[in-house]
Amino acid sequence: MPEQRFDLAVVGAGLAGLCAALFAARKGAKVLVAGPNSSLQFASGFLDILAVQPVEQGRVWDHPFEAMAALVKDEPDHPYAKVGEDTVRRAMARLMEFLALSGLEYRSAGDKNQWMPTPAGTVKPTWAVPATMAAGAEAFRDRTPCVVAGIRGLKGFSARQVTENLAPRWPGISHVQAEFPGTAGQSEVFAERIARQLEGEAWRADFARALSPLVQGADCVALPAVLGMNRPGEVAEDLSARLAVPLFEIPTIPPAVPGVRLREAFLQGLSRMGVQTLFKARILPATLDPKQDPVLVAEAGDGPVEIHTKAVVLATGRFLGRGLLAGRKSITETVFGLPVTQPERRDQWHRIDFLDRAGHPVNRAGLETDELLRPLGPGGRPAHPRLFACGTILAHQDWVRQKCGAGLSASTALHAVRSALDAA
Amino acid sequence: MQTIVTRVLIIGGGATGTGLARDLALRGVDCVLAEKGDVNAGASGGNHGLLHSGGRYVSTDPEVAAECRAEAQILKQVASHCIEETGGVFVGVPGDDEAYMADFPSLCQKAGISCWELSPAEVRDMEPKAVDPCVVAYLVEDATIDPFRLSLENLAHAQSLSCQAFLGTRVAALERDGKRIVRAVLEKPSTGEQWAVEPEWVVNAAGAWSREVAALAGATVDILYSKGSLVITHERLTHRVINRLRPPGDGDILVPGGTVSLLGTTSVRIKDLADVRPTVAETDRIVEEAAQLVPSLESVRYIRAYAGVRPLITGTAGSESRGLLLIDHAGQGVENLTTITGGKLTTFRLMAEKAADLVCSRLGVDEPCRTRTEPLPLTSAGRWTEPGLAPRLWLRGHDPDDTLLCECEMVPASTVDQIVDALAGQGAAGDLKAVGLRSRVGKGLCQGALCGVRMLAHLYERGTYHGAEGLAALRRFVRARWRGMRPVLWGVSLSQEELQDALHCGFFCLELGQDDQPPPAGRNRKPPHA
Repeated sequence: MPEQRFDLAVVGAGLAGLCAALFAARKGAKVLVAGPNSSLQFASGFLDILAVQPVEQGRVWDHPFEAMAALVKDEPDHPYAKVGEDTVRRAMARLMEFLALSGLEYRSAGDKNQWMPTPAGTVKPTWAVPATMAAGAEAFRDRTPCVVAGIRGLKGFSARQVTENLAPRWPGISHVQAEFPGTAGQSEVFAERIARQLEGEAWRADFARALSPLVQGADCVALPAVLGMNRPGEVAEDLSARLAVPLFEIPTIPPAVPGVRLREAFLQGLSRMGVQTLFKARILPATLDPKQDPVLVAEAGDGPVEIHTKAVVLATGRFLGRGLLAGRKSITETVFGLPVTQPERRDQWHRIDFLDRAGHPVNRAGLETDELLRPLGPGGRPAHPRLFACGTILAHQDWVRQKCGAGLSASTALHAVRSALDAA
Repeated sequence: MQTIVTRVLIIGGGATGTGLARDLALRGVDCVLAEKGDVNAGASGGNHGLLHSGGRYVSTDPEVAAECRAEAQILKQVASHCIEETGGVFVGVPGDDEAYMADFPSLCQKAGISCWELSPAEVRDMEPKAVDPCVVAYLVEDATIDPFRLSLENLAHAQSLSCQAFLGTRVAALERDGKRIVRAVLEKPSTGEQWAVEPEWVVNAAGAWSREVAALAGATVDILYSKGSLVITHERLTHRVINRLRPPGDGDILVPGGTVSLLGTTSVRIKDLADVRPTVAETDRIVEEAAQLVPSLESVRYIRAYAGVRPLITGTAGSESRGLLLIDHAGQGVENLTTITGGKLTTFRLMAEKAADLVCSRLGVDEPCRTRTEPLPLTSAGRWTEPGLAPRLWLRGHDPDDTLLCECEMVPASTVDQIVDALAGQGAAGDLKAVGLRSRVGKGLCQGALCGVRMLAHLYERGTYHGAEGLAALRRFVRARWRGMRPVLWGVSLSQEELQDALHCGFFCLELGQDDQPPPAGRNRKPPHA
């Protein structure tokens, strides 16, 4: 079996795994990141740090770091209590810097959460948003008269839905329906295709001509997230100049363009930094000998490869990412068979109401770790001195209800990588 | 208050109520049907859709067994488009009572039910997923019936003749003048609108709710509530109905339903009709029991569970029975009220016939029952409930302007539009749950996570929703789907649920919303004048 050697092997290529690879590569380590990287396409594009605490009360915070101070007091087991505010700030800054270098600029609003319109017609509090969406938070805050322009045939996005729901709070909002050039007679159009087309100037000119009469006199215009794939900033700026009106994007329902942009930005950036990727490979279940360096086997299309590494970061996510597997009776961890903290019985996994604010107990199931983010083995001690975990596989967090997904992934990735490189 | 004068008021829109509406309409009797929820909202929609050969009851209730056999034969003639003649197998599982197995053929013979013994090799060949080896196996004439299609079409046919139906409409009061009910007050809880019906006769076909309905007129009905839960697999596992050859018990049957299989059932006595839902414990019990019949049930993927409440008649010694019961309330001092309850989906037609015979004799109507021979017309009302139909039609060709809203079950926008327009006539245009009941939307892999959102956007664009109505409808829809999803969330189903949680709560923040109110009054159609 062929062998490869690394300083750090990251298992899992969602946001946490990709962040871990990025942070380690920045420090000059030789890094591998392995596993399917499809989960990012489900991202909304928003980068959350923390907005709701405690979830039972549905209390929404304007300041994520004030929320975090309250959280670590209420929930000392939350991963944020292990990483600390400074690591969260640093990880988010590095992530945003990296994405900007890959052509995907993000904006935060100082230390405050921003309220972003969603395609449902609700608003969501989040920390940082793609630059192409940033004007949306300002427009909602200032209640700037705004025209939401839908695109005919784009399934799951209704400009009328957005305005009907926002209008009570945003009186100057209205909607129009545009047709994307060249799609007359098509029953369905695809956001990703439009986004790639709009990278071309001719398409932008045509689209601007179609939009212009519809948005005449608007103070600002909202569009579904279709403004470019690899250079969205330029596309949005150019279209805005052509229409002579500020523009912003509202994300569409996933899988969607903002998630694909994130994935593509990571791919380009990581390859620029020399990170080796094995996105089509599966890391086979393994038993680690605590007295030796970790050895993994990656099963790729062209046969198995033996991975020798000084340290491992496990970032395989939850059920969708296949880091955790739910049987009918209990939940297991899929790569190393690590103990999973979980409710005692399956009828305690979920609450009676899907929309219960308190969240479902199963969402807080996951791995226990020490302060260095080393997952604990059956004896309550780290399973291996140089095995670390980060992201949503960690126990005692509910990233969905707390609105802390990106911050959790990036900060635990940074903390795990620091611990791993120190140990290696 | 507006008043509708009619001959018969039917309370309840399940298989019996809709069947009775059609029976009366075919005899030329004018009627009004009021259903507080939607068609088949109770036990009629919460069963496995089995058209009994009768084999299940040969040991416990030969009379019911013979009734099932006779009715199944009639329905196969008059409602064949709602029925799949799958056939059924009774399988003797090693370890079960072999004396019962040995008696089965003679008991079938006594009840007039056909059964043929199968060799182990024949069982393997016909049903490769059944337990192997089995002790013994018998082939019977079980079939499956789509209860939603059946009731939707019974009602549609009745409406085309002489029946007015009000769904989402409760009976708020039954007012008496002496020994007769003279007026019923109907109410649409979603809007608070009320109107009156003045019937000559009232039939209580409210199933598990018939005790409450009788009480409105000061009458009583003695029934027990038995909750039955079922579980649906993602794929169809067998060609035929697979029965466990033992006395009726939990988890003893696997019924094919188009592209899926349904496992059931449990029987749990309950006292309260509020909040009936399938539980994790029942689901586990069904899966574990049924896996003894079809071992791969331990590892297959499940889509959801559901529960219904059977109204069981209390017998003389307090024992329960699956027979039907026709109660004339004259003895209790109410002369023009009849309750029809008990029974089974298979015998719904007979129940309707008996109730209609009684009502007609009292009303002096001298028309015979025609549902025995008159074929149930094929209408568009029920056709979209058929699994696999939408994809077949879509693949065969579709309008270039059309687009799929539900990608799992391939339900196009045109179908949703058709259903929504039909619902608008019943004052429930924007009810995503009602669309789900009349089609396969929300029944596929995503269980409504994505198609619910796509339907919502589509219906907003169409102008069906105003203000926050759509989001409220989405919340109701996902909450309704959740009842059935929650007990089966392991394996891939849990991964899908994680995606839904991230979308509906993480992204849309629906859990934080406050706008989950019923739609404002005045948007719904006013009830028609008499």
